Amino acid sequence: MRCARLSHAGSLDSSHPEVGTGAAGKSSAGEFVRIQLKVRRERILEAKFKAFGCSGSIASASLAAEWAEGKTLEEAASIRESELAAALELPPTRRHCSTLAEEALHCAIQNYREKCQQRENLSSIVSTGGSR
Amino acid sequence: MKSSGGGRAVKQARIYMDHHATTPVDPRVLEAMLPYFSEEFGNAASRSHSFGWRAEEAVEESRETIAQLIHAGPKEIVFTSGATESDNLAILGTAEILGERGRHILTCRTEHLAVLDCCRQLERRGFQVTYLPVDTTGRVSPDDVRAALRRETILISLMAANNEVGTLHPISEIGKIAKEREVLFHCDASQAVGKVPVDVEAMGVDLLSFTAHKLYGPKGTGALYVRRKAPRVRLAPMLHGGGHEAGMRPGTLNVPGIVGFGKACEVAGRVLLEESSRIAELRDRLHRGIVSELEEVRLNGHPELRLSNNLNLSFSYVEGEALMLAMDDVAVSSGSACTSATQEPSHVLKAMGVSDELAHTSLRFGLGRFNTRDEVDYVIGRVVQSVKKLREISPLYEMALDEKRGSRADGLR
Repeated sequence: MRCARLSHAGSLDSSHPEVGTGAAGKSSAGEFVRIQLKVRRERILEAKFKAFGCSGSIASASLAAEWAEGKTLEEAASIRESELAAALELPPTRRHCSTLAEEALHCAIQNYREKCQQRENLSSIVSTGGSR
Repeated sequence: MKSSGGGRAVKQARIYMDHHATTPVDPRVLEAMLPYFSEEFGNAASRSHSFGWRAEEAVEESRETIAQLIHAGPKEIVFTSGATESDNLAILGTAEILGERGRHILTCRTEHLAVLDCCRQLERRGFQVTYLPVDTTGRVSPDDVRAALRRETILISLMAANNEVGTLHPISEIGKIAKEREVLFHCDASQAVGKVPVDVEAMGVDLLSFTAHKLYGPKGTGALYVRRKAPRVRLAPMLHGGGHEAGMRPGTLNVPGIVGFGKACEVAGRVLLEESSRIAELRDRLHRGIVSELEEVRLNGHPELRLSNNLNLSFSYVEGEALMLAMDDVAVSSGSACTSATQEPSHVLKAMGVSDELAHTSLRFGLGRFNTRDEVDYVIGRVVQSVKKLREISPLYEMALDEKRGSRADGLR
């Protein structure tokens, strides 16, 4: 594992309206991965990851973030763990690493969409004068 | 970026600190073995010519030296292919002979898989096995042993020193209990022989497994000590075909291997005390160096009653396999799931009450005869650098820092 090339390692502000945060795995199982996406107008401007886990988990999360950055949310949602696994030449025993990265990425996309939906709901409540 | 496992280019590890897994063959041992591959290649069982006689002589000399290291008699040494085979012979061999008298075995949760799998095999054949717990330092309690013994117990099997965390069991105390209750006592001493003084009389053991490759001898040769007096232990052989080793272990003897084993034991006997204290200093230096620069590093195993060369540490928030790969010019091992054949975290750490998360973050250093102070200092640097780098990208570390900041801020209010 070449630590120097983990250029997408880092954090974004999870409270920011433009940031979607997704996580997968359990620390008790030895792997926990977080991916965050900064999105504007459906396009991922920035993707960051952090990972606790074996080199396969770290590499998968890193690659998922790398691939996601610059894509639209729809394109990123179609990234599959099998593609990550193939690119990293993961052996069968390590497929759980790429699966986790895919899960975290999709979770981040989902989280962002939910935030947008909440904002929309809030603005529609405000504009109709509340629930009275 | 490729990850480890299938297909990656293997980088040669420069510094070896995995001496619990195996040790290099000492040059003196190799020199002693070589003639037995070429000029003195006879079969030790060939009675009719000098090739055989010379091989037999070499075997018997080695048998004597090996026995001396553990304070046994030469006739009490049975040669095997290694400690795993010795464990099988001791446990399954005893069960077969004494199975009619009783069908209960007493062992411990932190034993090596060679012992645990033999016990599971006996369970499948209708024996009952009690797997004693250990305390948080990995030590079994003599009181627990006493309480668990039954009328039907035919064997206690407990290791002298744990291969993962180095903890030493109170073997002599348990030996006394075994004698009182007239139960055979088997001890897997693979990690202890050559590192700490081993005396089968003082320990009160009846069967003892050990192997050459843990004490700078060759792989593929081991021994089982089988007591001949008070009591005379009988074992059913696991292999059949020829009556060698008093009928306990047929098969052509690995003469060069045995010669190497003998030489390794001879050297170990001479240097044991000095070497063990020198290596303890190096180990302590390694430990101090690491904890002086890193927080949240936990020592696994007993702080004092441990092997002098063992250091098992858990590095919070950083997984073991990733850590090993980040410092891949140093050979160590880990208790993380990803590095085990079963994809489960270390059963030893689990038995000690170490959380699953911490078990995944553990690293085992096993220092050895040829490690130097410079190597230790280099490794300290690599460990500290690698842990810091991996903590930077660890979401768990970030969460822990946030929590600390939050509670500090709370404290200020």
